[in-house]
Amino acid sequence: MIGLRDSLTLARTKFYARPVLLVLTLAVCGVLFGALYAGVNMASGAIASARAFALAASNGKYLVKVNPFIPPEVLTIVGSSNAPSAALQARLKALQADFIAEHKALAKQLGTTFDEKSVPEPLVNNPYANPTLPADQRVTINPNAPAAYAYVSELQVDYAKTAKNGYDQLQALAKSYGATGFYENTTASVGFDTMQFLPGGKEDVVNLSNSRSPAGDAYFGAAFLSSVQNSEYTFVSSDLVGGYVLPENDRRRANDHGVPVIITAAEAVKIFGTQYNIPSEPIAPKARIAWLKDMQDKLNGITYTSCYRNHADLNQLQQIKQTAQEMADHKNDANYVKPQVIYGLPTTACGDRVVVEDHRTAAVRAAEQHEADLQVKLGAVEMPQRQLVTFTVVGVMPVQRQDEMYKSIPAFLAGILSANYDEGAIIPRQLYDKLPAANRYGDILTRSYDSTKGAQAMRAAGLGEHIVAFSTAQQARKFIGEQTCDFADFNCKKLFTGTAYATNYLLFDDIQVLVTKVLGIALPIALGIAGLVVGFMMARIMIDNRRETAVFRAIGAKRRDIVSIYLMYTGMIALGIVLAGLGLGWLVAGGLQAWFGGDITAYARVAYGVYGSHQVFSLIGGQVMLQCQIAAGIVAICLVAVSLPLVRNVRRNPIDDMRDE
Amino acid sequence: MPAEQQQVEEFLKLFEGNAEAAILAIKQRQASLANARSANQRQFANKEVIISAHDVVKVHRRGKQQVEALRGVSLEVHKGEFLALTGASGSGKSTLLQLLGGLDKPTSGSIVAYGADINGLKDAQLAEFRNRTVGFVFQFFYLQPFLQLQQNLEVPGMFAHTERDGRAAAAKELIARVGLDAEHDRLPKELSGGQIQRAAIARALLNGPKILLADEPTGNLDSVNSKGIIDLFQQVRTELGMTVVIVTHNPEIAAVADREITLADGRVRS
Repeated sequence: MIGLRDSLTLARTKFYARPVLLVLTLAVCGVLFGALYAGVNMASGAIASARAFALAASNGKYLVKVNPFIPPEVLTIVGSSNAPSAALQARLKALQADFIAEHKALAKQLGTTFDEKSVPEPLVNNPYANPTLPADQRVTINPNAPAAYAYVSELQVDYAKTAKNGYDQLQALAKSYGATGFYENTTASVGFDTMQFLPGGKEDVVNLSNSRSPAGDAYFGAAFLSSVQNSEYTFVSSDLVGGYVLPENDRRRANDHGVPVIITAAEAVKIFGTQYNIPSEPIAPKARIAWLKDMQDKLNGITYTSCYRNHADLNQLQQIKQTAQEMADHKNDANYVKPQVIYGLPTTACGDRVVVEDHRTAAVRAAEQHEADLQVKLGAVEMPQRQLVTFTVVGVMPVQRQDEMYKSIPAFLAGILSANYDEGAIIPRQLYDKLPAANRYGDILTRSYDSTKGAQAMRAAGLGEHIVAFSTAQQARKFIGEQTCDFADFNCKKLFTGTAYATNYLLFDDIQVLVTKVLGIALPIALGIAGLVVGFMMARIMIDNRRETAVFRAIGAKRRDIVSIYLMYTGMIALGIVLAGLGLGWLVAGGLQAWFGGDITAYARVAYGVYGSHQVFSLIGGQVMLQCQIAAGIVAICLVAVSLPLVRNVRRNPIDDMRDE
Repeated sequence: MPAEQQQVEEFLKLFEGNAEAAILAIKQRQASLANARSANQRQFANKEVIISAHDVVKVHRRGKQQVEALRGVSLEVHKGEFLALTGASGSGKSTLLQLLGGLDKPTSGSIVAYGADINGLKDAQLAEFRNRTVGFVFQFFYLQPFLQLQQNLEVPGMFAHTERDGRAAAAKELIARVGLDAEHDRLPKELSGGQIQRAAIARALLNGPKILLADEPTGNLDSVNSKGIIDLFQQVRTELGMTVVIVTHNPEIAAVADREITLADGRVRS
């Protein structure tokens, strides 16, 4: 067969045969594959960059938030229109009797009496039941009865004894998937109903209420704007959020007594903007970095206070307001008898009520105090409690507002590119643990309000929320897919529920799958079009060159020599398409990178909180192997496209083609 | 203009309008050529037969129509002879030339070239035969328009897998032999018709063929260039001892040939 170099020499002459057609073919196919290459480049670049940013944001870990799946009936008594079984009714009655006996004994020990009628019955009449049924079939469970709590507690104790989804089991299971770290994830015990942020350290006692509403809008994600105001704090391991903790400064050292907290940038503007001269978030991505750094400089180490008041204390304040109103209403009523003791609202931030008037005798006062103490000891009422809690800002996190994700395409992209460590302000666990016990406000922030035996047993068995760290996204995805259900799946048949935590790294996988699917459709279409275009052009060229082929045959060319020349020509066309496509693809990707890369990088740095790094968000992905595969596809389709006209061409009788002249 | 009339006009010009002198000169020339041909025929009568055609029939298909181009042609080509195939258009002379050169196979009958039956050769063997044993020259030259002269000449060498330097040297020598050394780097479009046909002859000679087959090589040239090409064929034949078979309407060529075979309606007339 003719040598490669000679094939090349003869194939090259065909470039001059139909230059317009050739340029058109290269242009059409070049644009086609240019778009494809650009898409591949940018998609892979963006995904890889987003992954790298996400990884940096989560300190090199792929995190999964895992909860044991506990059947709902173990956690609470679910109301039902059907009467409980006879056995359950008997058990509830027995638990009720135990509760009363226990409290009677305690009252006796304290030298008082216990009114058993004050204890809610565990079985109450079901108003919706069929009146013709026997009496024991017309009852339902009162979930607020102590016996109902005790029954649930028993269930939980039993569940905890045999649970296979405790912390130990989670560790063993996750390690088999390559898990490298485990972290407890707990929400602080307080909330908007018991603790309130004090702007400027001042408490608005006049508007205090025992039935507060959360600050901000009620939509999902509002916590990013109001977590401090709503006292929604989450303890997160410093290992995970260490990147957001700012370096210590003099102010921090001076204020190191406060509970360390990382707040969101959006809320920081809202609650500290005026005081610290922090402007609203700028739109330009590059300006956002400067804005964020300025904010961090201004807020690092500042303190703020919140006031914790338990429900008993809030009830007292509410009672004061009601009494004051009542007295005002009866101001001119001569028959109205004022209370023996009149209290006033606190005069200091987070202070106790003040006594305005007290007409009680010392004996009455002592008796009332004794009775109150007894009620507390019996567990019938809660002791009023209040505490001023000081927080020290140690970080400002640029969290993207999830609620705005679906409002526009940029907002959606912004929502994807973000780090999210649960709703609420974050207390870095290890920093918190370093505080002296008196400054931790442990009985407010970390105490367990559920002190039943069941809850204790569940905690002891490690049946709480944990964060599991993996070193690859694949490991995390596999673990989530195989061992966990969605959090909202109440019919879960697995031991755990789980989801990606901190960043949307799994979304990148989904996007990649989507891109692969799109490519899987677009590539064959593009190849098909290219095949048609190239096939048409080659057929045209061959028709034009029939005489030349006949002459070559006459002067000694074998059929395979002709095939070789045309294959070489086709190869050059394919190479031209590949180069045009690659060039255009890289040009588009490079152009967009040059045009938008800086902004996207700035945006990503802010979104992921890696603004201190030199990490760049690139729209140029490389994906050399994939690009080579596309190139191979182009070459292959060109060769396929040329094969039919080529076979027909070499089978022609050269004499016919010379005679046609 | 018919070749005979052209020849008469040339002679008239030569004898400044003296028709009698011109006719006499023509007759003398024809007699001289006839004598020479007769002598040559005698000379080649006993020479080795290199190609023989026996009762060759060739039917072409043109769509649904069948055209019988050759109807039982038999002839022999002797080694070293200059054979002219003449005849009217459509007489089958070009078809015969193509069959003799192995470009096609006869529908029936046989052609034995250098001891091998063309019918029995496979496609690749025929290509080899055309490449190394035969040199083709065409009426319309058929040089590759986008290759320089030197590269054009090397094309048969490319198909023969001849070593690059060797074939370049051979091409260069042939270019010089046909008087085109100054034009070796020109494209065909930059040359005259005569120069292109010279180059085409040189191309046909590149692989050192034993026989040169030319299909109306002067059919597209003026008389001066035709004369030059005829001289070149004679020179090739004389200097290289090559067998030359030419299909022609040109009486000049027929006149200088050793033998003339005239075809009519696909048969040998004389």
